Amino acid sequence: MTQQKSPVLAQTTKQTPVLPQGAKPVLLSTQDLCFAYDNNRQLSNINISCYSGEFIGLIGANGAGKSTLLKLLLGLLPANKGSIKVNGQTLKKLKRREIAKQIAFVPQSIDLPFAFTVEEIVMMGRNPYLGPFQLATNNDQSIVKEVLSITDTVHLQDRKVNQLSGGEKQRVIIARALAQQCECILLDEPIASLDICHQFETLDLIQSLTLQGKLAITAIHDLNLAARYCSRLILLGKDQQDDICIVADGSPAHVLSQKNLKDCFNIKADIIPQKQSIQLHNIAPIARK
Amino acid sequence: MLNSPLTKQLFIGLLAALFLVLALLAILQGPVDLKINTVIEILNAQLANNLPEHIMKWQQSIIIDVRLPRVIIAMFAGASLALCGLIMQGMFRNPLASPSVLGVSSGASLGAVIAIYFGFSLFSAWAIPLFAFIGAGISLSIVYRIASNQGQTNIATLLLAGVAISALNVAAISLLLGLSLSNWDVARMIIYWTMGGLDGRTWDHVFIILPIICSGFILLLFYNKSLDLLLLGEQHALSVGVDVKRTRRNLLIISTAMVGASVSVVGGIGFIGLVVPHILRLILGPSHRYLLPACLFGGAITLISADLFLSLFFKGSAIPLGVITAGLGAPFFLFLLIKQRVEIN
Repeated sequence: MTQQKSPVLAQTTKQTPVLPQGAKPVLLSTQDLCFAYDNNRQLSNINISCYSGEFIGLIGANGAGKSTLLKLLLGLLPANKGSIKVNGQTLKKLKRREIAKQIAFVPQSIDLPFAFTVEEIVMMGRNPYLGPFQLATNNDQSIVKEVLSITDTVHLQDRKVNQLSGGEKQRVIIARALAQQCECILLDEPIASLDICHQFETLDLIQSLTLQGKLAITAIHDLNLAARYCSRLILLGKDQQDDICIVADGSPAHVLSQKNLKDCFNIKADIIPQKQSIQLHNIAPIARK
Repeated sequence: MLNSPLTKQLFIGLLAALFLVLALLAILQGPVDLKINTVIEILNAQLANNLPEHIMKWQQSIIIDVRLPRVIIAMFAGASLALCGLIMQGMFRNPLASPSVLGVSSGASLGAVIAIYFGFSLFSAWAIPLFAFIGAGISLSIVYRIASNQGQTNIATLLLAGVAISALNVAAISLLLGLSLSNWDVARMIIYWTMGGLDGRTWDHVFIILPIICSGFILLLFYNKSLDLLLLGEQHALSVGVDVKRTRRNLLIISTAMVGASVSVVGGIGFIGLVVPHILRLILGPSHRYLLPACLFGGAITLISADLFLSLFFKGSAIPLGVITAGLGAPFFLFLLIKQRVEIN
């Protein structure tokens, strides 16, 4: 996001990366992953393999387990069964510092009431590489400078984070995640609280990262934006036993079918094919009987 | 707020200098008038282990056995209360948290009173601090469990839980005191202990408080970055590599040990843990690299100057120290709140 893009411009310059499946090694994968909440709702048998360069959208209705799956992938929640592998290593055996060198996370809530400067917040992304008393090296400083410019936040670097707008905070948190220099970056509804222009800017930024070979997995509610930006969608929904599972996994055109829209979101829409993706028009709820 | 690292370091240096001056003033101040030269000679003599002839034995005794432990205890107790307030405000992400507000101090008091009531304190000098630590730990973990839900702490729940636990602790202390009145020796010990303060504190007390608070402070320094990250919230901290569960548990143990040690020696002294970290955060910003040493000196300065204030202006009266800290601290805190509200509007 080095140059300011208007939504319209973003639409015309959009390019969907080609699915690099098979060609590259698996970065992040789950095998028979199960997780049960206290109230019997559970995620069962989640199997996914994610490759570098993919921009994966995690979609599903409210309560479909998007955030839960992200937290499982990060090791924030303990899986009941199955395993998660990142770069060939089992996640469970890694320390938090080690995980933080592999997977960066952009949480949903951006509540930053304390007067840290933007630069300090971004430098916190270097935490996994620094000891408790170690000061930032020149290398750390140049990494921070770089991610500040990638996220277009250089002009904010001396500002206090508690005085920033929602969109600026979001970019600062993404910059902090980038400073971790991870192959994978997970985002929990990064555009949920942003205005439409910042939604485009944020997704453009994430897409440019995936074009450089990073893996991005983001929970996202807006199906049209998901179809437009993501190279792959994973739809979470309920199976016959009322357990949460992966209903569909693949290209947006494959996942966003009339049947899936009806089953998982209880909506109907006209599915309009685009150059490399699809768009949903005339979205309407299906009356419940 | 100071912005550059250099001014922040300078400010901490100033605090350290102010602390030394106040400590010297506190040693000079007392019912018996001793000249500064005499005091310095006595302190030197203590280090060199030979007393000059013109100094009386009683003069040495006043400085070394009465005033010095008093000042050292004031310094460590003040520092530990301020540091614990800082840690709790950081962990609960809430500027209103402090040992006294969250019921930790009263929990420590209850533990100490239990140790006295059941006679454990007769067996070992460590019984009171140990029980104070246990009491503080139980109170804090109850409040913490009730108030935090998935890493988010609700301000109202936190404060109400603190109020409820405090009330329960105070009630239990009164109950034990009431029960002990039939045995005057025990009752007298409890009453004497609950009055708190710095009077009659000896080197024995110093040796209880010193190792716990020194090691606590050093351990806290190791957590300076984790504390910054915890301020941003649990998920942020986890995602940049902080083992939040372990860090929280360790910080809780360290801070309860420090509160337990200081309460067992000087009793509950309110508002230092609330006001000192808050003021210093307004001056230095939220980074714990500066706040930890600043709170160490700031807390020591506050308690020593409260004690000095009492002995200068209320000679011979039995006003508890907590009255001064609250009397000066609460209005200042209110002033800060009002000022903040004006700035936001």
